[in-house]
Amino acid sequence: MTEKDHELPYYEPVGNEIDLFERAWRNHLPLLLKGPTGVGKTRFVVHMAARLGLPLYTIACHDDLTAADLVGRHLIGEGETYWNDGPLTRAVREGGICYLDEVVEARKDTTVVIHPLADDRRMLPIDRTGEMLRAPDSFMLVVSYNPGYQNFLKGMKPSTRQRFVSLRFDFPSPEVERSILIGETGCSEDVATRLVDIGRQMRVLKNVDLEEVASTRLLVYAARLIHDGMDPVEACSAVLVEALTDDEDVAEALLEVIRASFG
Amino acid sequence: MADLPHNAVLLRDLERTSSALFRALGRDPVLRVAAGRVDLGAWRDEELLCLPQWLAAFDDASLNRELYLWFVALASAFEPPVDGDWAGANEAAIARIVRDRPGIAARHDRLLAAFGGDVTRLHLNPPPNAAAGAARGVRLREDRDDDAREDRPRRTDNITHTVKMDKPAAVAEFIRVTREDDGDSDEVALPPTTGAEGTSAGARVRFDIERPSGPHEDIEIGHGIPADEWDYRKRMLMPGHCMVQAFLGRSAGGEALPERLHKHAHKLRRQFAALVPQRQWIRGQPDGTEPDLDAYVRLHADRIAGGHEREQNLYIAQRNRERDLSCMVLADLSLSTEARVSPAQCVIDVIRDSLMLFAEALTATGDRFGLFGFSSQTRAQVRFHHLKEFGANWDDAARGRVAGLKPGFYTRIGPALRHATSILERQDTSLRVLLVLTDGKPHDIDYYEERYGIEDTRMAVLEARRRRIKPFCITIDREGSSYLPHLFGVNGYTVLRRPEDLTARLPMLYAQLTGQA
Repeated sequence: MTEKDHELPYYEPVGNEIDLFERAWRNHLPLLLKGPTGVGKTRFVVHMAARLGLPLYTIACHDDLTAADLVGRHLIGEGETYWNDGPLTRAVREGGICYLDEVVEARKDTTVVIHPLADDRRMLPIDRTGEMLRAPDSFMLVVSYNPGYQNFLKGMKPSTRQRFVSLRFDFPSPEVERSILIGETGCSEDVATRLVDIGRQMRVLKNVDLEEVASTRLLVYAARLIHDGMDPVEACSAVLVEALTDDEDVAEALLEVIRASFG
Repeated sequence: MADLPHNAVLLRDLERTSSALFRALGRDPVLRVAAGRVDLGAWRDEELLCLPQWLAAFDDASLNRELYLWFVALASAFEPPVDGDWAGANEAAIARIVRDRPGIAARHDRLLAAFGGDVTRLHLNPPPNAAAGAARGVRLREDRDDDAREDRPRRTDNITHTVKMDKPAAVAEFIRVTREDDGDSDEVALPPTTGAEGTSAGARVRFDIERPSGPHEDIEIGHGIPADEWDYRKRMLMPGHCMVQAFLGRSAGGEALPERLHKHAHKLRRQFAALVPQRQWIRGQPDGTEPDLDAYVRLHADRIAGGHEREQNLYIAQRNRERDLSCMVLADLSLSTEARVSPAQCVIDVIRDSLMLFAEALTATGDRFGLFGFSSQTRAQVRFHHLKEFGANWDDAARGRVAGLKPGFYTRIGPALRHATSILERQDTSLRVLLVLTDGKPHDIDYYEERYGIEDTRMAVLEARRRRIKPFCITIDREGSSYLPHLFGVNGYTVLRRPEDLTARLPMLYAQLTGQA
């Protein structure tokens, strides 16, 4: 560990993702992160921005997000109007990283601004002001999506996905997940081992009894509460059971899994 | 079940919980729990844990509940003995659990104390067919090339919920069947216990397992179409393994909607007309009936700022948005749909009425829809009934075909689903929905049963999803449905406890599923 590493946001690599990110950045390629919720996609981007020393603009996409929200708009002030850069424009101007989280949630018209930035043109047209911004070398576009939310009306268009270098995130191995829990919360080895085991048992139920399964993030929450002195069964019940299901029968089964480990 | 002791706990109330728990503790999504005969106790085999329908071992109902959960935990750690030492295998599993799972160790101690220290009361029994299977072995000899298939003893008669099956199959469960080929007739030897009067043990009778549909013989359309099947043991899709034969159901005579359905149909048509999206306001139009204030403010601000003059799309306009979707209903027509749901009605009657009303409702939305049915008789003939094609009108002829539906044969869902997928795939809409109506689990007279059928069906569902088709299963299997989540996913199915609800629920489900479209 170098001294600089101490200042970086905690991130436990699971494969070659850091190398891939750096290569993509050096070669001016945009990056697509896909994977279930809570496995560290956002944390990874935060970590990489800090590692590369770049400003990071994160935008959580939603179904009302328009191109103007990304690019910017004129605001009306006292007797005058002024232009206000959107987060994407700011990232381009400053040569930072723009991270669009859950990009499929955004409206279709956002692809109009994403496409020219994501291919080798690396341009951002601002049609309101007639400006045409060329992205500096250090600028990078990163988007994420969760293939789990299969919605027939909201898939990612092939023409969009094929502009990105893709990186798949999945649940980390038990060993890595254990060190994440300990590294994030300082919980004991024993608590981390049991939580990871509970998480893995619940993940078996994906697409059978549960739609979404226990993410590493949820396990971190549980570890934090337990580390704070909360009863483990109560902590897991609040964090893992209620967050994952509304079905009482399945909730009962999850609770039994927790009780089996924590007694 | 009226005379159950007051302290008894019913598995029915715990089935979903124990199934999910079994999967989680056993770390395998295919595991499931089924209700079995009370006198057989708890036992498990490869993917199934069979628990007594009810437990009343203790006066305290909460202890009976704990006993169920104990069996689930024990089964998840249990490894069947190779040497037949069941007690030893139980003890080893108990030792593992007590070591690894403090919570269950505490339960073990509580239950053991309540049983007065008799540890065998906490044991799993050997599967009933481990002992009886050899005597009652049912051998099916299939194609020579299917050498991977082991001779699996059937155990269905020990599980209450699957006893209710297609009748010839149910008969076959209890008698020794030696099949020479995928053939048309079977030689059956009746064991002494089921021997009819005058039949001595081992007497041979012939009976025809095919049920000819008599005067209502359906009309074959074209030649057989090959369909694939998934063999989970080989982890391999076997291309063209099954033959699908299309049939045009013979109409029971051009028919109008039955009188008794008129009122309901009228109501549904009105409700479904409301499903058609009302005219929608679309912003930023070059022309329209109302000004778009947001667009106007934006333009004004841009102008003052000396910004670029852009197209002036300053109006909002109303548009009709079309429902861009097609829906196929695929109904199970196997013989088990002959089961009665009430003195006056069979499952098939409910299916007929539901199809009628569903079609009436859909004509009000203008959505493209097709009605099809399926049954099967070994892999050589998966019967696919065309009741109403996608392009065709919902007319008296189509109604007549629905009215003339007759149950027959078995439930080979996988290949039927694949064929349905290929038809639905040709419909040029952005959303394609496949509604499957069934009353039981995948099952055919050959080796297509239990895990084989379930895995094949699951694979067919995944293939359909991959082709951007949205499958949804409505089942009227009243007694057991623990395998459904594995097949269709957590939001991909619904179970109707009372089959008669189908008529009302089917249209409503459709509205719910396609509401956003």
